[in-house]
Amino acid sequence: MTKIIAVHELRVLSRSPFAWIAAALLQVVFSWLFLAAVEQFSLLSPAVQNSRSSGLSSYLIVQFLAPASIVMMLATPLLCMNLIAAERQSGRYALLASSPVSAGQIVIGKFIAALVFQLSIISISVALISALSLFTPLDVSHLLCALLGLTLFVTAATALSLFYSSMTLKPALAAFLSFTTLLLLWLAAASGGALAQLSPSAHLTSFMKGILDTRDIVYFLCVTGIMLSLCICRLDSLNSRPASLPARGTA
Amino acid sequence: MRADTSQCLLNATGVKVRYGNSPALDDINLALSAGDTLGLLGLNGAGKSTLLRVLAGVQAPCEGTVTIGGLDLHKDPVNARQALGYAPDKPPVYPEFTVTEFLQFAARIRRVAKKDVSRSADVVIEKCGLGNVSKRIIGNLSHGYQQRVNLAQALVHQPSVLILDEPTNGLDPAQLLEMRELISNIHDQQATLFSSHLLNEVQATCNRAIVVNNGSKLLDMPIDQIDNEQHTTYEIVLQQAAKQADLQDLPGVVSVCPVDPQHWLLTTNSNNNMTTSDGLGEALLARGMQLLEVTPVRNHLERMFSQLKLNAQHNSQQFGTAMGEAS
Repeated sequence: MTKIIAVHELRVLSRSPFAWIAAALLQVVFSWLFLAAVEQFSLLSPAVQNSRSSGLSSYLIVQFLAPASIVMMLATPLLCMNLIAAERQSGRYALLASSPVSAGQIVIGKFIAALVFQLSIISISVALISALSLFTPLDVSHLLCALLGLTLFVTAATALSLFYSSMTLKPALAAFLSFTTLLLLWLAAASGGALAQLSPSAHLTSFMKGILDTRDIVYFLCVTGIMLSLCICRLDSLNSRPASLPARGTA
Repeated sequence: MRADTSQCLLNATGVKVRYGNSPALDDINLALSAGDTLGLLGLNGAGKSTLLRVLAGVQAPCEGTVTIGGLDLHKDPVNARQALGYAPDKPPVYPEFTVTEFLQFAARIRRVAKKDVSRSADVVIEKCGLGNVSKRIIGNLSHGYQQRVNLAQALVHQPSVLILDEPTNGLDPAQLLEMRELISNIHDQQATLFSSHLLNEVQATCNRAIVVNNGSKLLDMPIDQIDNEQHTTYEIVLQQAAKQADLQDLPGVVSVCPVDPQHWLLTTNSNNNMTTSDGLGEALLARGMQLLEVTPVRNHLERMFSQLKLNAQHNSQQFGTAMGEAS
C-alpha cells in the first residue's frame, strides 16, 4: 500500500507545473554553482591546484555541494508543503482517510515520493561531477561521503517539512514553518555547546570534510524517524481516538 | 432510543462531537442494515456533514462508537474501512488525472486485487454513466460529472456501506434526476446513507429518514409510515413541557418527534381506536398532561421541516434585532 501511495504521489508531482518549474530552477542553480566552482578552480595556478590535498574534489565540495545543501534547505519546504496540507485543504484527504490505509502508510508513501523526486534532481548534479572524472582524477570516496551527507540532510528536511505539512491546512504556512525551523537549527551551530549538537550544519560539516562518523548518520536518521513518527501521530489524531485517552472535552 | 446492533452493517452509538464548548453532535444513535437507504435531512449547519464524516472515519467523535460490519471504525480503522465507500460533499478528485486513472487509483487504495483493478474501474464507469468521459482530465469536467466521479470512487470496491454527503448538491434538474436514479439502482445488499436538505429527494429515494437539527436527532422513521393510510400523525401542543419517554409508550403511538418541549408530532397506528384525537387527549390527561391543541398532519416530514425553517428564521430575526440594538 505504501508503494501505491508513493507511486501515486510521484505521478501527481510529475503532472504538476510547480514541481517541474521548481526542478528546472534548482537545476539552473546547481549548474551555476558547479560551473562557477570549476571555473574558479581552473583559474588557480597549477602549483596551487596541485598543493591542495584532494584538488578539484575538495573544491567542488566546498563551492558546490555545501552551498547545494543550503539551497535544498529552502527548496525542500517548498517541494513538500503541498503533500498533506493541500490535500486536506482541497478535501482530497477524505479519500485516503476513508480508505483502508493506515496513517503510517500514507506518511511513508508520501515521504518516499518526495525524497525520490528531490534525489532525482540532485542525481543530475552527480552526473555533472561524474562527467569531470572523464578528464581529471577525482577523490571519489570524499565526494561520495559529501553526497551521503547531502542526501541525509535532504531526508531529514523532507521528514520535517512533511510533519509541518500535516500540522496546517495552509501549504505556504507549512513551508514557512519548515524553513524557519531548518534555518534556526542551522544557525544553532554557531552557538556552541549542546545546542550546536542539534544543528544539521554541525553534522553535515563532517561529511563535507570526508569524515564518516556514525554519530552524524544516527543524528540525521533520528531526526527523520522522530519527524515521521510525529507526522503519523498527527494524522492518526485527525480520525481516530486512542482508547486509552479520555474523550476530548470531557476532562 | 438505542439502535438495534444485531445484523447491522453500520452502527453508531452515543456519538458526540464538540467544537470547543459548542456541541456539533449530541448523542446520535444510528443503525443500518443491508438494503437500507437512509436519508439524512437537516437544514444547513444542522450537523449532517459532521455526522457523515464521523461515520466515514474521517473525523473522530469526542464520545461514542461507530462500527462497520462489527469492527470499530476508530479503534480498528484499516479493517473497518474496507467495507466503506464515502463520497464527501466536495469531490476528492485529482484534477490532473483522467477519470479512468483516478478510479484505478481509488480501487488500488481500497485494496481491490491488482488483476481486478481495471475491470472494477470499467464496471463503475459504466454504472455511473462516465463512459464518454473516461479518458478526459477530471479538472476539465463539469460539476455534474465530477459528482459522478465522486460517486464512482465510493462504489469502485463494491462496499457494503455507502455514505454520500449531499450527492446532488449543485446539479441541474436533469443531472439531479440521473443521480437519483443512480442512487436508487445501487445494489440491494448495500446499506446506503446520504444527506440532503431536499425533502422530496429523500422521500423519492430512501426507505428511511432521519432528521437532525442542532446536532440532535429529531426523527428516525421509515418513509412508508409517512403519509399513508395505516398511520396518522398528530401535531399536539401541551400546556406543560413533556419528555419523549412520557409520550413514547402511549397506546398506538409508533413514533414521537419533538418540535419543542411542549410541541410534539405523534405518529399513530390508524387501526388502533385509542389513537383518535379524543383518545389521545384522554390518554394524555390520564398522565397528567393537558392537551391544548391537536391537529392531524398530512405529511409528517414536511411539517417538521417547515417548523425547523420557522425556528431558524425566528433565530436569525432575533440575532438581527440583537445586532441592531448592539450597534
